[in-house]
Amino acid sequence: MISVKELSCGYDKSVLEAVSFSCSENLSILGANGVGKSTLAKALCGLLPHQGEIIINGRPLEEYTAGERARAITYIPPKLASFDAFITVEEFILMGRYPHKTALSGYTDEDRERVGALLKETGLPPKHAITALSSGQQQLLLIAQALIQESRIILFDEPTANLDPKHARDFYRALKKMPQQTQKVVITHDLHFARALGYPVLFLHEAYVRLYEEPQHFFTPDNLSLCYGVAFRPDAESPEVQYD
Amino acid sequence: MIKTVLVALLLLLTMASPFVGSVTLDPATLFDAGTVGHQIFFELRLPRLILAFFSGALLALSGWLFQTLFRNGLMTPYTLGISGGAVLGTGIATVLGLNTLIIGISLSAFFGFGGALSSVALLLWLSRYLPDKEGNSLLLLGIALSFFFSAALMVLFAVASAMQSHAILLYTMGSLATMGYTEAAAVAVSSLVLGLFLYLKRFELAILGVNEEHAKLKGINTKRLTATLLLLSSLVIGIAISVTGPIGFVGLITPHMVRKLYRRANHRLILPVALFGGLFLAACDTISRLPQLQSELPIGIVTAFIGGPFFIYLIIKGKS
Repeated sequence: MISVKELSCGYDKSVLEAVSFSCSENLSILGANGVGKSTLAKALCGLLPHQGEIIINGRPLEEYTAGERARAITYIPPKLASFDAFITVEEFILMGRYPHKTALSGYTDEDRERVGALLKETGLPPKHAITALSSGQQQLLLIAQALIQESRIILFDEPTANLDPKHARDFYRALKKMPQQTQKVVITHDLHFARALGYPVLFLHEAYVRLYEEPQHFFTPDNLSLCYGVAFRPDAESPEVQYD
Repeated sequence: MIKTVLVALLLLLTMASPFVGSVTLDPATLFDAGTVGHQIFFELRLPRLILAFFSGALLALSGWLFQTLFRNGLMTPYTLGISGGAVLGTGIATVLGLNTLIIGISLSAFFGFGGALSSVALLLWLSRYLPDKEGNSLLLLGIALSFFFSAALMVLFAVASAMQSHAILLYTMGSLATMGYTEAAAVAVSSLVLGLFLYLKRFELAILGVNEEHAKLKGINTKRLTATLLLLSSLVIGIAISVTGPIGFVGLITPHMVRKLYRRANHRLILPVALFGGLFLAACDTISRLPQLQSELPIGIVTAFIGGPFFIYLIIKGKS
């Protein structure tokens, strides 16, 4: 459950100004470049200072300890960037269990078993360096880590931006297989992908924010033209990926 | 293969260390308590080897820590000006004639620590105004601070007596000369404390080694972790530098060398980094005292002669 009231935040200058919305379901966030979609996601995870109120699962974000926050909400960036080039896939996924371990203890056998099961399921090579993986594999890796972290809300920032249609479909299927109780929030520019997901749409515009609880109302050519300021052809017959 | 040869070479030079110097020791008389050879071996060369090994380990671990904390392969206490701050602090103690011991530790060590801590505080305060905290801006800031501390040291030279100036000059070249075990023990304990603390924090450092955002998302209070580790490292660097003076390149090249040799995740390199750092400095110390040389070379010159070309190689090849 995400609830935001009069949220303002940004970097050197404010990107988001007095944004308010509330959503307890899965959600797609769309909007033009630079409108503040990633900024919103980072603010929701406590990565950016902000003004206004952010309520996560019924509790103000400020009241969470760092560990509690990691168990409540996490964010998956569009691309994996790592200073350490030699972390293996297995080690990276295991890091997802960090918010659940006690201060001085190591990871448990159960943690390792769960990583093993995820590795089998995803087919990721356990001993490969994370930096040696393809973009598609890296996206899968980030999902695997988020899954094992068991945060109740997971924010995906442009997950299909670096993926070819096949990997985008694989990601879609992985998303659909994720636990029902996990609230999934997907930031994307990919209208086909967002429509296939069928999640309610939060559209961010420089001047307003609008939540479309019925996504089909968002994806009409007229509404899209209005939202993005460009014409959308109503009779377009471009091929689309069959996600399901 | 390269790893085996390198380890063998470093071990050989390290083990040869107590036997190399202006006086040739007879192994047969080493354990005769009354002989000069015994005294030289146990009172000068063995403590020196211990000091060299643990100073090297401490410098290498500090370099590894700074590179991990700031996720930049060129970050070390030396390049960030923290060593410069410690040198300035110790230089001030020398000019003020503060050589007394407090709870067994020289007052200049406290000044060294104060200098290191002040430069960390200055660096962190100034870094708040940097547009790009993770990039090269912080490094450039550190280099600027180093220049500032060097200039302040020149001022000390101007106001110091000839004897004090000479002492500061020798000190700035770095030296592992020591007598007895007090200084070696202080540096050894500092190095072990740092190593142990890094080991205890290995899970957090592993996650921080990816990037800071990733660490925050895993529930790590990165500000507190960074401040704690910088405080601890300032303390141990201050102690080490007040004893040996500044010794460059060990902290920079050892983590890179170990990464290239072991090719494993950063947090699994703590022990190899400490061991290689220790062996590297002990080996350099052996080279600095080879009998073919007219007099002992300052250790900073030897590490710079070996580290300099490696540093250039790193710049040309990009970060490892």
